Amino acid sequence: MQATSIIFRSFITFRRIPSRIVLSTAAASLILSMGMYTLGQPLYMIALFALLPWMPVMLFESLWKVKHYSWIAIFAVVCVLQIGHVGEHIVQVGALSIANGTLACPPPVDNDLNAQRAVSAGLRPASSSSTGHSASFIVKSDPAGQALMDANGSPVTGPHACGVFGQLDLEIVHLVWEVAGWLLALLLLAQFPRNKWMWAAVVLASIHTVEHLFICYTFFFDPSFVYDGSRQVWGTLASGNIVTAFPLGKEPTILNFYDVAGRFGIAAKNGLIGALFPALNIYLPERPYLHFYYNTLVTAPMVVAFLLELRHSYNQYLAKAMPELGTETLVVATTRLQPRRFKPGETIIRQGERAEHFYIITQGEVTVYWRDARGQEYAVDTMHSGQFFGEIGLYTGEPRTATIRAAGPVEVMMLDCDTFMDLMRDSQGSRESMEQTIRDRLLMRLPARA
Amino acid sequence: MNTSRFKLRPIVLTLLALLVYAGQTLAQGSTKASLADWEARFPLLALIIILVIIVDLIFMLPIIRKLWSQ
Repeated sequence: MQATSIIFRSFITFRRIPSRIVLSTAAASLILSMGMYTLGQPLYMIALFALLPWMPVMLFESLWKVKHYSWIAIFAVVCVLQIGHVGEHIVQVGALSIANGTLACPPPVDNDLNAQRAVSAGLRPASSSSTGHSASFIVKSDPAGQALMDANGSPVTGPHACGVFGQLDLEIVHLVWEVAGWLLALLLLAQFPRNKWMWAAVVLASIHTVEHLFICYTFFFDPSFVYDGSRQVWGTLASGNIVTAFPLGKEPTILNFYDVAGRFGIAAKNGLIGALFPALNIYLPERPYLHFYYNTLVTAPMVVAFLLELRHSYNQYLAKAMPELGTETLVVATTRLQPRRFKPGETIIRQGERAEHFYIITQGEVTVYWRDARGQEYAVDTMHSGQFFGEIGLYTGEPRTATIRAAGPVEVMMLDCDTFMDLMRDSQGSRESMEQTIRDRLLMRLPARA
Repeated sequence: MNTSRFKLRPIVLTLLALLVYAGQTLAQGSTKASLADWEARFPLLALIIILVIIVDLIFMLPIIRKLWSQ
């Protein structure tokens, strides 16, 4: 468990983005969200501005991790996105269960029509203009579609139950997300086929995908408008940027199959199973709860699968530099790799100085210089991404035999002397290969090809 | 670790049961489709299930073959 937490901490540490940028981003996120809160913006605006500064940071860090860790990094990104998705569902069921939330999704918008309806109902001054904001609060409605009042005669009000970003609670968004998650789960299964938890996640994701494909078909393509029904009419009231939707009765309309049945899907209350087995219908969960369960049941095994695979993950450049190392050794050595960046012309190691680190080039190009007895320096070679240097001084205990400078922007992964020597001691194959490389370099001054 | 997992399970199960119960309270009367309306869409549902199974098999069969041969 301790080893897993060390590997996990090493994996999630920012490597591409310098600490000062991470701290600046955190500060910007805090300032923007506090600013939105102070300006009286609704929750989704506060959340959006809190997340915005992190997007480029997370993008660049993710790309770096994918380059260094390959599929396990992609796995991590999928898990993070799915956890965020489950978070939205938790907010939804929390609003429904605890906070008198109303399932009017996406929430009514304070547009000209809804504002005018509120004016006509005498709820809003005629002079106030619409804000364009999505309703944060919704007055609950009775079966007639009028405002539900409590014992004191006040309207019963609660938040909308559509997640934080309620305007994204659309069938097409659900479908795209679910299908993408399902296909990504299948791709991950191909990479990690022995992981039982991943198989479980794929099966559950497949079932969930069937639900959403069926629901979406009835939404987009089922044309049967044959059911007499009604739609809720809303008026919207704005207090600054915070909008409350007020029910103003129902208007008769013709509904389609999606409205009356299709939107419940297969396993939710009033869905297919409820229609086939009416006695069972009372026990089936409502759609928001069912989909919360679905997403939790897909995401939980996926996260477990990821953590299990992370225990076997290692840096791809290290593995290519030392292919003879076993998986466990690579995993441990990976946690000790440190990235470092050099500007063009910057000296990485200097001829004659003490050897302290082993370097693997992960980005850019370096030039190898050798200084003769007269002090004349010659460029003897160029090394590229995937190649390594610094092993001669560490292995022999001698001072550096060459100077290496960055030819352009360069990124290297460094291993300290103790870890490098441990790797040489633990792996005979690596030791022999490294000794051959050292012989070749000392004789020919040729770079090793990783 | 085992001890904390043992204590966690009843809490998680209780929360899930509360959510299922809370889910019942949302039920309201509404215009309903008939069983015949659902049955008319069975071929569509079957097609969707077959499609999902085919895509699953396209990914899974090579994996299963590879695991079997190892």
